[in-house]
Amino acid sequence: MTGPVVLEARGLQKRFGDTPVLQDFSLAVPERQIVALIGKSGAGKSTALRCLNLLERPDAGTLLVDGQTVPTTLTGKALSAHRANVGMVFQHLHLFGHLSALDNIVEAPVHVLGQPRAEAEARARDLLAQVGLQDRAGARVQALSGGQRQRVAIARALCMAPRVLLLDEVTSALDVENIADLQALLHELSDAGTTMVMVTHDLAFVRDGAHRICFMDGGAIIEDGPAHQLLDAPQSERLQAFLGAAGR
Amino acid sequence: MSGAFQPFSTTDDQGRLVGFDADIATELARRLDRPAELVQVDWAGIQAALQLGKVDLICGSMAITDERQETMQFSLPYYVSGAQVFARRGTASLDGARLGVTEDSTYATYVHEHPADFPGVEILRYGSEAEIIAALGTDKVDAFVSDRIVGGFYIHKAGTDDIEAQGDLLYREACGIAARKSDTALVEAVNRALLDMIQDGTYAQIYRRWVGSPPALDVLLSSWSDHVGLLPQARPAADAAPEKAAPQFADRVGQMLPLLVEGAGWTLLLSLLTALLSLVTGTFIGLLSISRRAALARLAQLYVWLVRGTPLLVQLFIAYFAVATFFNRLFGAEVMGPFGAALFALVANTTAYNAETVRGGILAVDDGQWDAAAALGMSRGLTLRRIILPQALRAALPSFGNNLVVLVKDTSLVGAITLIELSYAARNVVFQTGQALLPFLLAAAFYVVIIGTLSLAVSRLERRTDGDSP
Repeated sequence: MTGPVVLEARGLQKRFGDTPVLQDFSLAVPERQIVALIGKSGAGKSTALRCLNLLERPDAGTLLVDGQTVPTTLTGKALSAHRANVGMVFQHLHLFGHLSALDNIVEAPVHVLGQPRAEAEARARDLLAQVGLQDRAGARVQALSGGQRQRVAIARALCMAPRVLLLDEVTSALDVENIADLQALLHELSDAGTTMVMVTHDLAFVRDGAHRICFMDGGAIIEDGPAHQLLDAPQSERLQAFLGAAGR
Repeated sequence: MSGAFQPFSTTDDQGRLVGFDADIATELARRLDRPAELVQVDWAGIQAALQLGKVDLICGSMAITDERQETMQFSLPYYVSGAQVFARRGTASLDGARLGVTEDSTYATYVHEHPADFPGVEILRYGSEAEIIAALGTDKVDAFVSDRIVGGFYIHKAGTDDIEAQGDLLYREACGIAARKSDTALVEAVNRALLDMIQDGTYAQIYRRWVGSPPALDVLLSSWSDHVGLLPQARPAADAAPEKAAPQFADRVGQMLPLLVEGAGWTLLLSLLTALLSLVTGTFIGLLSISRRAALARLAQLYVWLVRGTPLLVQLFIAYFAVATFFNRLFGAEVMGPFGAALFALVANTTAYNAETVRGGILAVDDGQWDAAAALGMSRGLTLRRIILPQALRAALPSFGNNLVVLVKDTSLVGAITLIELSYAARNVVFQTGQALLPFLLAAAFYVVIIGTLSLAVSRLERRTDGDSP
């Protein structure tokens, strides 16, 4: 993975009240790479992810997309544009319950980007086909299975054509078969040019699901390397202890 | 007695019934060797109270009429007075005037039956003389008809001395004590006691205490000769009665229906208009109450707090006597009549409840929906409009339906400001026919149909918006 760096965080810090959650979080992600953040609960993984699309505002640090600094105090249209550039799939998906699968996907392109509806729908249908849901476009999201909903959530995040896709615990609600499908889908997306940062507890999934793993502890990345190498030959004691506890 | 007909019946500062009627009733009870239990019944419900056995006698300044005698039995007259028109000093003609009368009074009947004497007059019905005086003071009526003594008493009391009696008495009337038709012995005893009171001077004493002048006993006694028919007589055997009763039922219902249907129309119109308007205003106030601008949110919360903290009846009177009066004076024309005031109060009231419903609905939507929309670059306003509100309103549908049912029933209060909706129409039918139960049963049936239909429509909507759940 040697493409240009798409997303970079430098020295992000975030406190909730008196509790420091991120301390000097730095990460540079090249194009098409899939990076997984792993670590104990409370290590700051989810907060790091939410700082990358400014759902949380870092207290300090710098954010860059394609080498351009993104002020962390953005508001209004510029904030919208940044978030459109950095898509996100949530652990609990948060699909819009009153809309069909297709309408979940076209909502933002039509109402945020101002795309003509027909154009947005055509692209949404392409995305649904890409995630294997071309015949469920009109279904209400409640009528879909867990795996299908997850694909709608991914398609929804992709509809804004983001440079980067953030994935929060995407495997937590899936069975084994769906996890394998998801892994294949993420690699397809990566091959097609999407850069991804994911947070997960699922070490079996990241072994082949991610290219690179960053181990977080105490609000910062303390070990960083290719997925297999980091899992098979952990360097730091804390990572060794974490992998030991996570189960053989 | 009604307790709202000074100086004949009113209440003292401890809520006890006092006045001419009260003293006469107490004295009668003493002479009849019965406990004097004075019951205050709203004039509108006073005949029903008698028929249903809630009270045994109406000693409440009720004029003796042929119509009332069909359903009740009267004693000999216990005082004689007359109907009088009151208006502002210098009023030349009543043409085009709004004329206030108490509902179900002989005055109301008289004005209604003599349209030639009251050309172009609009008749407005109120619950009591006190409300008529209030309506006069706020330009809701131009003139009124009441008892000569009572009208003068209220005008003097309200200090509205530019109102005065116009012309001669419309007619003389004699008030009697009413009993159920079956209580012949009781009426006989009342007549004997009345005569006793007159002979031993008690009657004159009571009269002077309340009316302020000695009674014209000669007029009273001479009126007795006009009412000899009131003296209990041997009645013909009731052989014809059962035969008459059975075929009358369908006719009776048929007679009542036009008034009830008209009342139901008003109830339905008010309910639907209020429901639609308050859905919009309620959503608006509900959104304000969760606004991030603290001042706006607090203002909306204050509104809800005030409205929910006051009874609808009070809000109706405020709308009618204050808000409507304000606008009517501002524009120099009647821009807000009883219907406008009723609609205003009902919308203001239901808005507060709908606002709470909307607020609850929004808070019930998962916070993740906000996150998901924000992550797609949607602004707070766009998220609210496109994502949160549709789901919040859907979640609030059952609660909206509930508010709607409460609203339909609440419209039954607008009769208090002269709008004759279903409940009020039912009461009017009771007055006209003397049938206490049937009109209310019919009104109940109308309510069940209206509320049932609306509830059904709401649950249909709930099912429709449920979508194609698995």
